[in-house]
Amino acid sequence: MKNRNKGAAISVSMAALLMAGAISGCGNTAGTENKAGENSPASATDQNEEQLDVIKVMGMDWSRTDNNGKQVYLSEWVNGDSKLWDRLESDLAERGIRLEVDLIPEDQYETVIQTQIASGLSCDFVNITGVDNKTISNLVNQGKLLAINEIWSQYSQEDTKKFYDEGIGSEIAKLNRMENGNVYKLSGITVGDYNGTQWGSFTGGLIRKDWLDKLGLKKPETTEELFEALKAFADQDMNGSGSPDEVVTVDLGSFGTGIAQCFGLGVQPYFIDYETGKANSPWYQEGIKDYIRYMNRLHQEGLLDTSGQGTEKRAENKVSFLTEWWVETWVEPAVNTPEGEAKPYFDGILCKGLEGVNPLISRQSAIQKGGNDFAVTSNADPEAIGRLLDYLASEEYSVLTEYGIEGYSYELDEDGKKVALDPGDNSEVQLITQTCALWTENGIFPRMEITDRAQELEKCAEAGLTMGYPETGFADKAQTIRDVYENEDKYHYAYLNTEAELAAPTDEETEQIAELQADFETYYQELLTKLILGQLPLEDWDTYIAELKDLGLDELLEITQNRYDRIAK
Amino acid sequence: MKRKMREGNRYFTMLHYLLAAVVIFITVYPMYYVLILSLSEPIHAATMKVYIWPKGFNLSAYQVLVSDIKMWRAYANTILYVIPTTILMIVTSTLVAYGLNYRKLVGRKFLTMFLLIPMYFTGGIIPSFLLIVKLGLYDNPLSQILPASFSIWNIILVKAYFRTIPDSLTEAAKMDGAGMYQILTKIFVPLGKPIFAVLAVYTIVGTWNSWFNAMLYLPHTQWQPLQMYLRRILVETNQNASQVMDAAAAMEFARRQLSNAQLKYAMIIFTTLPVLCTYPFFQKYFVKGMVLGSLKE
Repeated sequence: MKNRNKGAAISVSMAALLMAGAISGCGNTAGTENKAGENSPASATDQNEEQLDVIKVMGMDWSRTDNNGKQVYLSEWVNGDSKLWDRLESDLAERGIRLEVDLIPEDQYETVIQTQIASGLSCDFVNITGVDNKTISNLVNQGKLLAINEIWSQYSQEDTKKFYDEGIGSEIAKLNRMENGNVYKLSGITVGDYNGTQWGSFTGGLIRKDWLDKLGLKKPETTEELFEALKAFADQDMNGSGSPDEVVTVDLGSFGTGIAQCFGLGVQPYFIDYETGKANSPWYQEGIKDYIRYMNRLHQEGLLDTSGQGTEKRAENKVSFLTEWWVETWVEPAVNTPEGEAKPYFDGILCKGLEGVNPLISRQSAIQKGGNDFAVTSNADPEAIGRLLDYLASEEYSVLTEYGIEGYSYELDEDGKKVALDPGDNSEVQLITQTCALWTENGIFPRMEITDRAQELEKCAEAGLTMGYPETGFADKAQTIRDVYENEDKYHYAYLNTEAELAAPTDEETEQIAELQADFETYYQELLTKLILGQLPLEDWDTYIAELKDLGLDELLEITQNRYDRIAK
Repeated sequence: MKRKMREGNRYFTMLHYLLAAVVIFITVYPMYYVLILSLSEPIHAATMKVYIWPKGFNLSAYQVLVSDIKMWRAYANTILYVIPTTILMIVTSTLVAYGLNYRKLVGRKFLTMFLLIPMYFTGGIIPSFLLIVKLGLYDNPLSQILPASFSIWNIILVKAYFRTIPDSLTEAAKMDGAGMYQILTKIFVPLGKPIFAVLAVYTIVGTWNSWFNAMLYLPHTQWQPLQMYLRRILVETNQNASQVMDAAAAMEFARRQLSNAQLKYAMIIFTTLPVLCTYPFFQKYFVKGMVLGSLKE
């Protein structure tokens, strides 16, 4: 009996060790499911793979949902049967490049990139989205990143040099240029075009146009009219819930509410004035107290959501006003309206809040820097990277990324415009006709997006056709935006994202920002929320401003101004 | 006249029951809430206005989970980690505790202190990460097993338990000619079954719920455990809502947002169910584990 126990104990231990050993053996290939290139079916080129220069790329395993509701990952394109990925590979093979791709799950990427930076990056080209300026600066000082501008100057073709030195790419390169004059990051680029004029998109307040129509109210033009309309929505129980629960859902701790801009306030706590190019803060602006009083009034009347459950309120059909992209069409379908009733109709709105103060539209730049950054490590062969840059700056890449392959995902109409083909059940065509290829955005390469704003408005208007407005669609919503495109001088603007308009900070500025920003932002968000909710009196205004100054508001403004001036020069 | 609140008093008992009911409600309701949300229609689940019974009945989130090969792979990985980790934990804890209990061991006090210090003061994430990289365990499933295969706390538990085994048994075995190895395998191991059960429960639950090591050391999904998969579902943002969508895409986006919310609830139920089912059977060992440290000879 005892022997049997002993035998059992030994065999259990052996089993554990064997299992561990088996897993260990498998471990040698761990991760290869997402590493492609070595055994990938290759490029549709005759060039011998051995002659190709290998570039090791690390990025996120970016994903999106296809029309069947399936989550599709870039790794599935890379390891599966994707015509788009094959075309990318063959295009690169023509330039003598073969990719070895290491894809990390999106939710884990920040941890992986940080730990890999700590232990030494082993790839050549890396997605550094989310890595802070200080870390990048350290990597540059340690010689772990290569100057990309030197690569394109020495190894790229003339068109590429032109693209980055004088063309669209230069607009982004100058934002990424560091103190030593070099560029260490490549970023995505979005260029908006409305009938030949470059235009960014807008964010701001959107109001329930369908409720306005039901009540016979015209679109408010002043904040006072807006207040009356919002109150009427609640009093008249527009969602039929039996209680006055129709509310405004905006982030109370932020200035980007759409309502703040009605009082002429900037979107960020320190921003660059669109017209004068001077750094300013909403805390120093004329309309700030009126804005706070107005929001407090909404709160007192029960018209302001303070639960922080904006998404739930939207789903419950309780939102009368929100902040979004004016061209959005994705909020409406998620609202739970009674069977047979139309979905909501949100329309962009800009009201005058104060006499003598112009309301502002938050706008993107016409050439907008994307939110994703990519770097070249010191492991890379600069000559091969030079050829990669040739491709990333080419129209060929942009077309493949944005539209796919002619005859497969798009075709040209009589005017030479690219028109998406019906994707049918083809998942990758569905994805590329929705937005773009999976290798951009958070994936492995920067996006080079050219958006046709006119076409975008057509899509926006058409979206309403199937949401309960079969005759007009969202025509008025599109017209609100079109009016801005066609009458630029009639309106006044604020930069949507100040950070995207500024030069890269110097080492000293990076230190200062790191020291001041967190405490300052926590304080101002809390302060703004409490003032709006009436938890702090406006009478102590000078004390609050003194505290904001103590926390570095003026220093942050100065840094913002200096960074902007470097770009302006 | 004041009535004393004492044991046996009817009101006192009622109060006890009432308090117990409140505690049970606080403990059980969140789990029940997640369950009914996971079973409700997505549109109702999104509003979170489901309190007592599911609103509608929809199993689509469970269908999505069951048909997902990646989920099953993660499930299998977790089981692969739980079994060897548990066995190795018992083996290492037993061997070290047995050695430290040997009274004639040279430097026994020093060794005990040497083990205690890192229990209170760990090296931190970066040194651990660098060590794993140097050992070649990065991106290797063994990184989930080896570091979790020993625990100083568990060694102390086993050591405390072994100390309760009378010396007379060891002396008798020695007189019968038993060596160190035989004393271990024929006296300590058979008598140590309760403490092994405690270690097994702690390790199984710990490994089942563990995700942070996988987050650090496994950068690819191939060998990631179930909890990483759960975490991914909970935190992943799927689509960039700043893009303009046509009607069909917008509808799909909204539907996806709704079912994603519900997927989280279904996944929570799915991952906790096995451990929840085993808990009642192991509960007595948990209690035993808690009081072990307080035992004195």
